Amino acid sequence: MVLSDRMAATPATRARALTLRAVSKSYVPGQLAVERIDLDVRPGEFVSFLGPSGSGKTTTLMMIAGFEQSSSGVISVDGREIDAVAPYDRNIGMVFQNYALFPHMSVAQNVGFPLRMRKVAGGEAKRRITDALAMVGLADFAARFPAELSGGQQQRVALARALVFEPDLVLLDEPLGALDKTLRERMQMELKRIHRELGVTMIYVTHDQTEAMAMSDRIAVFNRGRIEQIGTPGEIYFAPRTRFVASFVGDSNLFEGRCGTQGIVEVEDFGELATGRADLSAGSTVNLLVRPETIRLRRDGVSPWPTTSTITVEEMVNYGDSYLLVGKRSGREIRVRVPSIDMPELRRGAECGIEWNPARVHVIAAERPTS
Amino acid sequence: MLIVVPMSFSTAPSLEFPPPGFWLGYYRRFFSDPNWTGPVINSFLIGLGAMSLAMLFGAPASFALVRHSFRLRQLFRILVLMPLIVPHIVMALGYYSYFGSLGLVQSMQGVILAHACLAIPVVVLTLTSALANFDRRVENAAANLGARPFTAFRLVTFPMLRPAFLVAALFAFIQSFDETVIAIFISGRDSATLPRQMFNSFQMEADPAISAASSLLLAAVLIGIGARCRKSGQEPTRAFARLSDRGLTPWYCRTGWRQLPRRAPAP
Repeated sequence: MVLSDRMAATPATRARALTLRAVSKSYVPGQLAVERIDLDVRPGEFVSFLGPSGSGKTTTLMMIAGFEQSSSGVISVDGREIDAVAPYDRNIGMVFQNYALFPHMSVAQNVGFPLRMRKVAGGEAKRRITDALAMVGLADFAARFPAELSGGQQQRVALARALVFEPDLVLLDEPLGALDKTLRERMQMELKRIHRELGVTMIYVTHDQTEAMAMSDRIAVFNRGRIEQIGTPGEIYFAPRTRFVASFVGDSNLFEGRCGTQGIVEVEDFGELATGRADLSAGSTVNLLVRPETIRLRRDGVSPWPTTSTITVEEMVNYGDSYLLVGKRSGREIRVRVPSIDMPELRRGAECGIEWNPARVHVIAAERPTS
Repeated sequence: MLIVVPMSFSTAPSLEFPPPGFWLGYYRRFFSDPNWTGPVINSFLIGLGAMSLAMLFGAPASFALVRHSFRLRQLFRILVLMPLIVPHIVMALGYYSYFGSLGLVQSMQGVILAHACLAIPVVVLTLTSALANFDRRVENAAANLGARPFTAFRLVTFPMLRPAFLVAALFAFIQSFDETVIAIFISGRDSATLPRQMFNSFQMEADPAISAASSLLLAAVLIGIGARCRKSGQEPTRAFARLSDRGLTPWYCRTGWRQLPRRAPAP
């Protein structure tokens, strides 16, 4: 852990800020793959790009790495514009989706490659390679070749190679996509540890929302070439700004309705829903988000909350720690997460009372139609 | 093969099967008669020359065909592969009349040029298929880590494609080495290739030395391909990397003749 100690002692000198200003990319004239991205990544921050495939997150990453040229806009690191800088001069580390290790070089040579390119040689290079491999837990594998390593180990080599030259930024393109679930969770924790120890700014591309939630300081949610929202995992989850974010991140119940007075929203075919928000302008259209785990099954007795309803149970899925209950009410699907210990005996087709705290209802202002 | 090889060890004064007796005399004659040794040397020189030229033009053409899309790419591909389709005899006639006006007929340069043209499609076919399967993200990784384009090619792309380059070069050489028709038309007495000499000798005297020559030609091609197959079973570049890791780079590592036991992936 020599490297981590040494680097952790000077995190401020290594962490860089990344700024994107109105960055666009179009492959076909008139069609934007990425549309006016604005983004400020603070020094040492761990930011995830989350979105479905084709949402522009990887394209944006490739523009930061320099493999794609932006059509317009400015990308800068610590205020220094890098748009005209070739990829090999950017000093940005990248971990590729398929690791992209050099199969004809040993682990030590792979990790030493960026040092060789920077004319770091001899004892200094050797020490840094050893430190980097120790950091990812592969100290004894220096003489191996990539083909002799498991997927998780190759992943670690790729990470060590992207970190060993003390890059200004580290970009990770779905690095854990090919690993199985257990290994993925272990690598997530390791990545977080390394991020903490080195304090280097990291950009992490993923389409896995739990991964983004678990690891990020902030998440940028991409959709159709734009950032729909950028915020902490908590903000993204509980206070999504658009319908897309609400439905892409986590499980959701979304109701579209018309505002009445005193925070009451009239939802067609469903009834009136209280929101606990007094500032809604009457007559405007809004979307309401109720997370499935904020809904409770109604017990006998008086409910503390005014929002109660009845659903017909259609489907029950056991996840071990919890059940997902899918019910219907006037043709509308309602999803409820019930902790297993609270799950009553239920049958398909049974009627079931539900209730929730209106303060937990999140109001999403109706989106302006986007052209 | 079963007829020609036994005949080459025959005692008979002309081509005769089955051979009446066993004799190595035709091999002795083959290796001592300048009428035979000259063409062997010529064939090697021409083969090497054609191979070099074919690689020199074929390799960049392959990269262009696989990695760049440009107008007329399809046309370019057809043009490059044309020598594979056109009958040799037709090309031979063309070379004969065209090289005649350039003074290249009966010269070694002429044969090298003609054979290089034949070998380019072989090189291009081998390299384009290898390149199409090459993951360019590895090159991106090299660039990302600080390698300029040429350095990335030298340290990453070329070593990874080295087996394909070797195969392409070998096939180009063989293509030239056993080409007969064009050699008959345009190689002169001083630049005669082995197949041409065999053809002449057969027409004139049915000399059993010809069967010795055939057997040797066959052996040469088999050895070339056999060596290739033996090597493709190993990973020469791994051995090289492992040794250079320890600061050892003996010459034979560069061609990769060492075989290392494959280690099982660690758990």
